[in-house]
Amino acid sequence: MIAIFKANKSQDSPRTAASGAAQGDNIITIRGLRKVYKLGRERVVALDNIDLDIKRGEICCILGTSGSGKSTLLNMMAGLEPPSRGSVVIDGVEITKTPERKLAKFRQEVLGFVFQSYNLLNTLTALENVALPLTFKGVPRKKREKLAKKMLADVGLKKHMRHKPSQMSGGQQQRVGIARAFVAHPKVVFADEPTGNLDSKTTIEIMELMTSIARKYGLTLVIVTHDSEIAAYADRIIRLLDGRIISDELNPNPKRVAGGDTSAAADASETEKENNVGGKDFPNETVPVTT
Amino acid sequence: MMRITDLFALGSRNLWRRKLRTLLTIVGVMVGTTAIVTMISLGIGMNVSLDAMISQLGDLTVITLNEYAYIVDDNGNYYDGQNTLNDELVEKIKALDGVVAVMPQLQNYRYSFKVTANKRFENYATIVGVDPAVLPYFGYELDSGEMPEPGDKNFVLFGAETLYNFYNPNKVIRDWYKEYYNEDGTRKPPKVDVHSAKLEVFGIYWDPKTGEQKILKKHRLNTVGVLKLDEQNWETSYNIYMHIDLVRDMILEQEKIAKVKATESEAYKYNTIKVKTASIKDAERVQEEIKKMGVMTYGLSDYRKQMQKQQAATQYILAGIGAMSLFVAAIGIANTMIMSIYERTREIGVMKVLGCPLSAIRGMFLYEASMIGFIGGIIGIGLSFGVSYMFNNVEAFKLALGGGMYGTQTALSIIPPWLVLLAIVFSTMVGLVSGYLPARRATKVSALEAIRNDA
Ligand SMILES: Nc1ncnc2c1ncn2[C@@H]1O[C@H](COP(=O)(O)OP(=O)(O)OP(=O)(O)O)[C@@H](O)[C@H]1O
Ligand SMILES: [Mg+2]
Repeated sequence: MIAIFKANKSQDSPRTAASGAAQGDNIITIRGLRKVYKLGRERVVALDNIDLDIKRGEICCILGTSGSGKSTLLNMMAGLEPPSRGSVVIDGVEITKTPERKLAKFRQEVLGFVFQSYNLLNTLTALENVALPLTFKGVPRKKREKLAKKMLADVGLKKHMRHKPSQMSGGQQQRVGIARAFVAHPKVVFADEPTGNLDSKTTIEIMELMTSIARKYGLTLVIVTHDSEIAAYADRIIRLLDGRIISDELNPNPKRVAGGDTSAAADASETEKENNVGGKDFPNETVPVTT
Repeated sequence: MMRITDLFALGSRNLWRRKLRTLLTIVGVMVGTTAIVTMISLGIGMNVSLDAMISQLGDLTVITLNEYAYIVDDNGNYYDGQNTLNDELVEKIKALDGVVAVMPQLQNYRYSFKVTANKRFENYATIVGVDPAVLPYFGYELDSGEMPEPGDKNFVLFGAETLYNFYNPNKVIRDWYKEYYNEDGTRKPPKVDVHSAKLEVFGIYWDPKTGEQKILKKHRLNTVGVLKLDEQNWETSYNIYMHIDLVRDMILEQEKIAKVKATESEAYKYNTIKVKTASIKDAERVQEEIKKMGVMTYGLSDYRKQMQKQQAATQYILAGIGAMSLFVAAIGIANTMIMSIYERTREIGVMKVLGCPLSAIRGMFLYEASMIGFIGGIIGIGLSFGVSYMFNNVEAFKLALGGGMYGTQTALSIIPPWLVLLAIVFSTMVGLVSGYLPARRATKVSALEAIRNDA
């Protein structure tokens, strides 16, 4: 990992999601993904035949200009919208073929989401908002509040636990949003323009926060942005234009949190990736999985 | 699965968030519940008033079986029928559940009996043989004298009117009216004071060939009572009651002389059997069972049923008015829930993205809708008691609505506990049903709504 080199283009690679060995294990596998919007007679090809593999623990940035199809790609990866054609497999589940009824459980177990406009529930406090994914999972109140408190402490909002969203700044709300995305220990967290509504200073804070938590727990993070500054935090940068991938590069030197364990982090993340595969990613806190 | 308590907590917060709108919707349900409960309470008041009126006519728990039945069927058609009333039937009826007492009545039409007072005055009123042991169950009330002891074979109970039947056959009467009435039109007292007179009863046998009269064995009547005059009940006013065994003896005596075959004897055929039951419900059931034995019956409960059928139409109209306002309330709930979906579209999308199960989204909306129904129902019940009190106690209302339906002193509007329970369950169900479609709709909100950045 010294020089920039082209990541394996999937059509050249013999690997598939199913055949993924421990080392090069792909958590997301996209094949032939296409999305066409019909607006009256006009047809907009938002995504055109996308093939993409994302590895476990990878922090991945989808970069592109407005209208290039970034959000469309993310929505399809997260199963929010069905594609016109093609498949998305996450953690062995082909979500493009899963009915919405069953998708809820999958989202509880595997996915986290950070929104551009935070999307906190106005009636709930910061603590309750963070605990919400656990609430949906059926985790008892005491247990989920304990986990949520810890998560809020991690994002530096311990003192704002009882605040309602309307009583917090945009940056604070997004921290709550991040805590909420990570609290249930998902395998993949998606973020669509997570800093789109924030100033540059807060953007840096939020990006550092998100990537450091992801690295700490060895999670896969997929960030959509049009801002190359943000892309600098990613391990891998995928550029989109007019619904096609125009480049797919590994970042040899992703930005880290200033000071401390920055240098060691690169290696640490590798080992953590291993742990991840073994399923020991949260040694202290085990969230009961209700079936 | 999401916990139900968490689901309710989320739903409650949503209701609280839009306090005014929630309150207005609740008011709608409250008005609807009040309307329907008040209307039903008026209907119940009608039924109670009807029962009070009927019980003035007689005992609703008594069933009467007549030898010659004059029956009205369920469709209101009359027809004649004949029942065989004998001891076998009496025993069968006694064995039925809910039967308190059975009183066979022995009477005769074929032979003459005469009651004399002081050997001078005669009385030809109908003599009915009864068992004194069961008399108290059938509400025979004394005006004067005494009630017979169960074993007393020589008692007599005069119906109030029969006292006036005593006359002196040897006295030549020129003006019948003057004999019995004063000049101012009031009635003269009976000729005989039965309490002090020497009373006897005996049969008179008319020989069909010679036409000769033969006076049969005389029986002294020692215990004397006079029954209270009851305008509604001609039976107790125009009959003379004696011991059933005494009447039977006298019939057998006549039949012996007339050489009637035992199989054709009248001594064991009753004209009437009265059956006392523990309650009106028992009366209805026992009546059905007696009908199954092939015996036609008559009870006041028949009349009651018919009257109830007649007033049912009025009650349906009342309930319909109530139901209509509750229907409007139901539309109010549905409207509120749909508005709520529009408002919360984004929130629902976010919840979906965060892994909220569809069942929980549906459950949350159903909970909110049924909560509106439930709270509205409870407040509506409270209000109904107020309205009911007003109907029953404010003179202006009583005048306008005519007091107890049938002129009885019963309350105009009655809310029994079951109605309270039913109203609350029903209003909650109305909420649930009105919330059903909105709830389904909420589950169909796209998760993509969460991503839209235009809000
Ligand atoms: N629901 C839709 N109906 C019709 N066309 C759509 C819809 N959503 C997206 N598109 C079109 O698909 C293309 C890709 O849109 P997308 O939202 O993915 O762009 P983007 O890269 O996220 O842009 P931005 O940076 O502005 O968010 C655009 O041309 C857009 O107009
Ligand atoms: Mg976008």
